[in-house]
Amino acid sequence: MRLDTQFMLDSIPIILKALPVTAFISVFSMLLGGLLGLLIALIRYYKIPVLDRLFRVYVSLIRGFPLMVQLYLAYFGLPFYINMYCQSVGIDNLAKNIPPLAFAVFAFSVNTSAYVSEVFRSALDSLDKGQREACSSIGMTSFQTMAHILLPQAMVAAIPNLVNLFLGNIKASTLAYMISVHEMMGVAVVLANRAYNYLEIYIVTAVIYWLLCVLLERVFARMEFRFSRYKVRV
Amino acid sequence: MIRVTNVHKKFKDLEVLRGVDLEVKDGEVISILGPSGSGKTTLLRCINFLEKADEGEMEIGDRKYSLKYATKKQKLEVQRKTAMVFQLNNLFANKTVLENVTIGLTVVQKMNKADARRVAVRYLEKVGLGDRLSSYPAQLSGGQQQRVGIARALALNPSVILFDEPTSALDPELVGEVLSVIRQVAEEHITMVIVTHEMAFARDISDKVVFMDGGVVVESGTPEDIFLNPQKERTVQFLQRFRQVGEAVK
Ligand SMILES: Nc1ncnc2c1ncn2[C@@H]1O[C@H](COP(=O)(O)OP(=O)(O)OP(=O)(O)O)[C@@H](O)[C@H]1O
Ligand SMILES: [Mg+2]
Repeated sequence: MRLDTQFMLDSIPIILKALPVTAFISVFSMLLGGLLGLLIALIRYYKIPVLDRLFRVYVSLIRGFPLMVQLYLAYFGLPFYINMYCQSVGIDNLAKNIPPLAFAVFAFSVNTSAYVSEVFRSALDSLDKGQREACSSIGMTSFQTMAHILLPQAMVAAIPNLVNLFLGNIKASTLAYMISVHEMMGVAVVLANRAYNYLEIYIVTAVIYWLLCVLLERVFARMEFRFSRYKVRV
Repeated sequence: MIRVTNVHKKFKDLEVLRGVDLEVKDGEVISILGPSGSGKTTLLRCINFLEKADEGEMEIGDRKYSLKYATKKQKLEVQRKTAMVFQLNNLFANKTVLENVTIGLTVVQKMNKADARRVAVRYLEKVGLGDRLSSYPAQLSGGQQQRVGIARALALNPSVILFDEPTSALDPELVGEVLSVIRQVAEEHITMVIVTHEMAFARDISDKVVFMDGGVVVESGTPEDIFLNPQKERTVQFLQRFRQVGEAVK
């Protein structure tokens, strides 16, 4: 089978035009999911009654569901409840004005939060208890201990895993085309549909995502190096 | 003055402290000796509220606390009046040498940054680390780390500093530098309780020596009383074992 190389080259700039959408989904779901995940990790670290158990179930469910199912649940399920709510308070159906992109970001954020919470929890657990005791021994409150000593170190310990999650998110964001979000994959598939050049398009998208990930890996590796300087013996 | 009375502590079925009394006058240096497992560390940890005693009272100055029922607020109050130097120094890995010392001053005592820095530098110079302010703990030797730990405790100007075997995790060639810093601090009449296995050192610097075994204070007195004229059989045995080990090493 001959590949249509001209088509492949021509498709690259068109697909890249949708890079901002892919970036938007990945970055915002990482930020929102990261914050929520951190909150969950803290709740579980301090074993706050009720909430601790609640989020244990949450994390287990989210990690057990296929991401696609979460995406569909958000896209088809949420509008139903939003409608119900709108009707009950007598306002116009809001859901139909919400762009699919928002549901995608929502679903990916929720998904990310479960994984991030586990990353932070194990990072916090990995810190030796000596430093915590040293904080107590000089009269730091548990909040001060968390803010000045534990969290900064846990953040650094978590960087490699967070980077993996983020790269995973970029690739997972391709699923968003299933709910008609025009991110890179969505655009690529539309291109291919015209003349059935699926093979060409999949090769091009694979290379684009791969290059994107390699580039980001480099950037983040440098970042991690900077932040973990305190661990290095010189 | 700090005084603890009738401290009891159990771990599951193991009775580690069985009614310990200890009094430290202002400016006094007290050494606690005793075989491994006799409860020395546990006693210090109970005083510092790192461990909750099953029974016992404590007085610091004119304030009284229950070691068992102290509230969170009282615990913080005690922890702010006491400081601990750990066997493993437990320095804050993400903070520089300077920050390790200033953090207690700025965060806990709410001192402003410039003052905290001045105080911290003074104590770090005292322990001989004035030139390592911006190093991180991982970049220091064990002895240097331990000296930062001592500066961190000193800077807080606590009513008492509790040392738990500050040299026993160190390589032999580093023990000397840490002991000499502690000796220097002792000479300034800072109130200290030191758990140590360094007998000669304890004899030199202490105003009072306490011998513990099996969760109780067996005997206490001046260094001369304990080292030259011990009254209790268990103290004699303990010291004898140490002399033998000491001679074997020589
Ligand atoms: N958190 C704990 N849980 C259970 N047992 C403990 C705990 N901490 C200490 N113990 C036990 O209590 C006893 C006294 O321990 P402690 O550390 O106070 O002894 P020590 O006098 O400091 O000994 P060493 O000279 O070896 O440091 C030991 O038998 C120890 O195993
Ligand atoms: Mg001990």
